[in-house]
Amino acid sequence: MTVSILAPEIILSLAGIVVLLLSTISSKIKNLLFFISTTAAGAALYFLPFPTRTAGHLEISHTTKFFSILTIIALIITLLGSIEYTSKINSPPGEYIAILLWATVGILLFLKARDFILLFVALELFSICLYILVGYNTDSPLSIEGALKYFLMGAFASAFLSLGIAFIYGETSFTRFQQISHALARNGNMNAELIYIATVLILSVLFFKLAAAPFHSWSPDTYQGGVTPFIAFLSTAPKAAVLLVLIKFLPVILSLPNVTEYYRRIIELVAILSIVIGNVLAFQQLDIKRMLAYSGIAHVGYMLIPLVTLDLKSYAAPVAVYSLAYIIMNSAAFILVDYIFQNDNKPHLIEELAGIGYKYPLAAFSLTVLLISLTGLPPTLGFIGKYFVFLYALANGLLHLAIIGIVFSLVGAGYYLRVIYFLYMKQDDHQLSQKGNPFSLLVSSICALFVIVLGIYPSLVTDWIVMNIR
Amino acid sequence: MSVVGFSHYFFLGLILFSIGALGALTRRNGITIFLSIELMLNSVNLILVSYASTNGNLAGQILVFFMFAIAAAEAAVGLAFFIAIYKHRRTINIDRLTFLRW
Repeated sequence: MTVSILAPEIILSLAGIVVLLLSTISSKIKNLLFFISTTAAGAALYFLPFPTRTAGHLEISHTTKFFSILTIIALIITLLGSIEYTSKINSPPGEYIAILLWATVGILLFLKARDFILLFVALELFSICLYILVGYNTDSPLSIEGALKYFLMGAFASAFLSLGIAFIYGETSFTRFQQISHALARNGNMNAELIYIATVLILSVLFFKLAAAPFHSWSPDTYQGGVTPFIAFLSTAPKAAVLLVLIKFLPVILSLPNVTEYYRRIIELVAILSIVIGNVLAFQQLDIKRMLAYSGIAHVGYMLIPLVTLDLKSYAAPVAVYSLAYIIMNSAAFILVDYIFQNDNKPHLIEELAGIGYKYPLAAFSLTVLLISLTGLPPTLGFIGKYFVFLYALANGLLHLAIIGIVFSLVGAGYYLRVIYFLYMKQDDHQLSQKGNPFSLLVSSICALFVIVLGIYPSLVTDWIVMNIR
Repeated sequence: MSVVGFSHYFFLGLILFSIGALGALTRRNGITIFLSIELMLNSVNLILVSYASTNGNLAGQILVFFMFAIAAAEAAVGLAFFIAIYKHRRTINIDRLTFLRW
């Protein structure tokens, strides 16, 4: 075990410190700061450790590597999309970038952690960074209010997580996943009720971080109020990371004898509730960020469908495909919302999109592609993600979940296509004419292109995913 | 009355946790809610330490130190939010933070 395993985390932490120090020198070097941080993100991508079979408190596998790549992609999209934003608000850009980099460090550690102490510390590292960044626009009461709600609920949830960890540690006297699952399988003189309570506590906190249905109430408020380009990060990277940890945590609790049916029912219930509540409530939203928040809840429901099988060998691959699609399309959609509206202190009403298709042709076209992909229509990556998930559900006898998923995808088409209708069908009747951040447009058009190319040639990535992700 | 042992500390921890959870759910003043959450975190520390002494290994005690640091970081961030919201709204009563509703 060498330092090179942690190379991406070290690079990003150091880049954060450098950016923070440089930003105190002059306030006119914003572009340099963004250049440094994007380069550091690229370097972190390059130095991702080669998958080995370390089974200590860190796991370095193809799966963690894939999800680390997704996290860093979300970071790069967010950084490029925030360049203009930081000059519009009253707070310095250096801190924004540094905290964003440190949040990424937390997520990367969280992905690798196979020990409850490291897991908890990494989770809090990124959560606290996320609280700060949601409320970074201190001029806007909406931003602070969203951040405060997220913070209070998040801190409440992490108290429950720590209680669950304490119970598991107390009953098994271990903190590493591997040792815990051995201890649970041996089933010595443990208090089994406490273990059940602990696993349910930990699962509900993970569902809370995913914004899955009974635990979703923070996400619409936080997304609507929060700093828009940063929501591109918040709505994607932590969710994918928590899904991976869920994938790695389920085998641990399934080492308990005779519990499969209970956990299957819990996950099934959460998945169905997320799909139904997310899609139904997204329908009546007037604010596009709030609508995307509810649609994000629904997407988490789709991503949980493969986990319902509890087939530990194969359920990760469809989740990975869907996460790839979700990260690219959702983060780019939020960046475009920021590009089109440009003013974060007002609500982002869907009606105000009227005529944007004629004013910003490229931005509107990219947004259209991304919304079609979020709906799950071919030929886009979103369709490939849903195809993998539903095919996997059918292959494992979850017909009812596949039907619920497909029916509510059709419901979802209603509210996504309504936005496209506003973009193109209404004539221009007002003005929103300042020039936006060219990098936002660049990065989101590239994402839209990606979504289409991978939608037409999915085997470019899905072959690798199906081979390597466990 | 027997010697104070593991179960006394454990149940004291659970009782404190429940008081904290009830406080966090029922109080309306933001800082009181935050105090209740801190109470929950610290009661978990008590449970961890009592487990560590019966299990006879130090992992629980190490986790307690990390939790101190995390609680302090959360306090710093949380109090900053309360100051910021007070500047805008002149209140930290969470029932009156209703800009984000549908």
